[in-house]
Amino acid sequence: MTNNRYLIVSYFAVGAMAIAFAGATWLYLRRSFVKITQKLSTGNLSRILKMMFPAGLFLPAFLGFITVSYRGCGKSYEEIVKERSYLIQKNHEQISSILLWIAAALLFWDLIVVIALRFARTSNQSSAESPDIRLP
Amino acid sequence: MSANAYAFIALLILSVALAIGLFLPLRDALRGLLQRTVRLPDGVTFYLRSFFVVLFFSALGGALGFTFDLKPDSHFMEYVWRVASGLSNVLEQMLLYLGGYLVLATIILASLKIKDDK
Repeated sequence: MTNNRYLIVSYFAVGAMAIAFAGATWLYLRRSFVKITQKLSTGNLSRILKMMFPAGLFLPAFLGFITVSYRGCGKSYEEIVKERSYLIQKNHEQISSILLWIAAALLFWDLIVVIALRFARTSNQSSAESPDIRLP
Repeated sequence: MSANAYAFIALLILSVALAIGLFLPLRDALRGLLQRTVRLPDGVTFYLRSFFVVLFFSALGGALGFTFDLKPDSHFMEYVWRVASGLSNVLEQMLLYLGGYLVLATIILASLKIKDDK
C-alpha cells in the first residue's frame, strides 16, 4: 500500500473509530441515563436531555477527530505522505484526542445530571403537589 | 513486529492495568457514597459507569498520544525509559481526569447531601 493510499484509508478508518467509540459509550450509558431522565420529569426537560445525550457524545468525538492537523509546521502534502511513521503518529494522536474529548464530554454530562437531580429535589421539597417528580 | 511496536503494546497494557487497578479499589467506596447522596439506583449505575469510561479513556488517550520513535539499534534500557516516559504521560492524563471527577463528586456531595441534611 502506498503512503498516499494509507493516508486516505487510515483517515476515514479513524473517523469511523470516532463514531464507534462514541456509539459504544452511548450504548453503555444509555439505559441508566434514560431512566434517570424519566424519573426526573416526564416533561420537555426529559425529552431534551434524552435527545441531547447522544449528540453530546458524538460531537465531541468528531471534534477530537478533526482537531488534529496533519499540516503541522507548514508541511506540504508531499512532505506529509513521505513518511509512514508520521502518518501512524498522527493516527495515534487522533485516536487519543477522540478518547480524551469523549471523557471530557462525559464529565460534562455527569455535571448536567447533578444539576438536574438538584433541581428535581428542590422542586420536590418546595412543592408537595409535583406528581411528575418522584425521587426516593 | 519492530521493538517500537512491542514497547507501544507494553505501554498500552500497563495503561489498561493502571486504569483497572485504580477503578477496582475505588468502586465500592464510590458506590457507597453515591448510594447515600444520589439515592437513585440508575443514577448510581450511571455515575459508576461514567467513572469507568473516564478512567479507561483517559489512560488509553494518554498512551496513544505518546510516540515511540527509537532507532532500531537502540538499547533495551532506552525502550524501558521510553515506556516509563509514556507511562508518566498516561498518569498525567489520568490524574487530570480523576481530578475532574473528584471535583464532580464534591459537587454531588455538596449539592445533594446538604439539602437532605437540612
